Amino acid sequence: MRRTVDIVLGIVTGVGGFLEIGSIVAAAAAGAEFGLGLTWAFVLGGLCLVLLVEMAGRFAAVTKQTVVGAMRSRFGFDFCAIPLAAILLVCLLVLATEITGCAVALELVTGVPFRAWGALVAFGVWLLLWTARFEVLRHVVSILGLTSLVFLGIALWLSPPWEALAAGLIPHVPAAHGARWGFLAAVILGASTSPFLFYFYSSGAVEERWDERSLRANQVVSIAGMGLGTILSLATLVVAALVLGGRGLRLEDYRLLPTLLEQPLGPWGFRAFAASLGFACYGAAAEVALVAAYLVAQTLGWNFGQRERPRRNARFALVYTLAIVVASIVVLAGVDPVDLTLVAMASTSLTLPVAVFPFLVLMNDEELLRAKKNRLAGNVVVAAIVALAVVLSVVTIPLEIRGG
Amino acid sequence: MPDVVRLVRDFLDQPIVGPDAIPLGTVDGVVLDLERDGTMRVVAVEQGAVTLARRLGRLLGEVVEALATRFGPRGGEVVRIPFERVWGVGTRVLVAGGIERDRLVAVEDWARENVIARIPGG
Repeated sequence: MRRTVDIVLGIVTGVGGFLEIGSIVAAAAAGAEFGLGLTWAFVLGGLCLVLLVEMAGRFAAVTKQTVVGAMRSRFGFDFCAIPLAAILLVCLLVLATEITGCAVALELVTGVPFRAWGALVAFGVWLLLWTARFEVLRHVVSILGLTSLVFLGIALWLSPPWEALAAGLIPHVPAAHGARWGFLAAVILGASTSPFLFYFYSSGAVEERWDERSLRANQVVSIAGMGLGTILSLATLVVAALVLGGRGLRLEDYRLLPTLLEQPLGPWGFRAFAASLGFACYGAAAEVALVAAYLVAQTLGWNFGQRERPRRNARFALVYTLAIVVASIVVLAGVDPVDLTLVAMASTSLTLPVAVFPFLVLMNDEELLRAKKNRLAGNVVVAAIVALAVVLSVVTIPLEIRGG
Repeated sequence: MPDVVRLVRDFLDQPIVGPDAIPLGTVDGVVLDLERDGTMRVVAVEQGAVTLARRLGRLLGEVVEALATRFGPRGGEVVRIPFERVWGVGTRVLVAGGIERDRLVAVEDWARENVIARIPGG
């Protein structure tokens, strides 16, 4: 019974924690500009995430080590320092993005500009980490995140064009705006495969002391949780394609975002959009700030954890506090939310190989995982999707910057 | 302890734990002594930001050392644990408790006493 409850909670965490400003902006931009033509990127990104999350949970359950700690022990500090620094930097950028997303939601509700909310949101995120222990935090984040189910409801209510959705599963480079199409594909792959989710998942598994008996639950949670999460982002894409698509719009203004739900639902849709954006980004910000602290603590072999009072893991608490301060400076600088999000997600795509390839090597290590090491198929699929993400981002980011 | 320990693969960069299994950092450096007969002997383990920074380059090492001397709770001193105090090597490096523990977690203690414990709820 307890196991079933854990599995259900795990799935809820996967679904509730899935949508955040990255996937919402990616879906809105893709839907507005290319209709359902980028469906394949969401499916590939989701597939890659399911596989990575399953691997991260299996790694924690079998080895009892964190992914980052094991990377350092196996490859050495000299090799890991630069990749981990790059991931940490992107992590701070994503944290700034999530705080901005929550501040934008408050602007939508109150009319007071988002820059004014940055500091308050940052404080709210910090307060959650400071006071809530791991289980509570996880449940708060996932239950708040469930508000994003509204996208699924609306997508079904609008009756999705199933044939166009199926056609979108096969990539066709459009005749015009090919570079933008590739750039958005990179953004989508970055937003869905985000390494922060699997670092968070693996750190949580170590904190909750998983063992080999957790492996079955891990499979169910990663497939169902991340799979349903992917369906949620596909639903957002469908809504965006139906509401904003086919008008030659280019998503440049974040004030256009609430239209997604406002057009089908009226003023209540506007409020529902603000609520789901705000809650999803608040939860995601808390998760990403914790990931920054996990990264540093696990690299340097510190005591860490979110199960005890902050003073029990003082350096760990200091790192997430500083991460939130640094990220809120980016918010106060007033970077445009849509630009910031697209840049953060494309940078995530760029750092995917350094986050994922060393991890794949660990997952194939017989000494560490014995009979539970990776099968060939999982390796090939993850490596191929990551390679695609990085090729797309290397080719299209310069074009995007040059094109404004 | 295993019969053969591969110094770089099995020892360097492994997590250090004390007798109570509390994490005490990582093996950031290994100090070797060259004997008269040409054999090398492990004499100590080093831990801390200064040792780590030196591994990435001389300039970075000097910058971090200067910063640690000026602001660090250990005054820039590199923590060295004599090898006799290393009790076990496996997936973790086990060291004796006592005085070593206090020096290894000096930064943790500093952060707790000067920052975290002073904030309400910490």
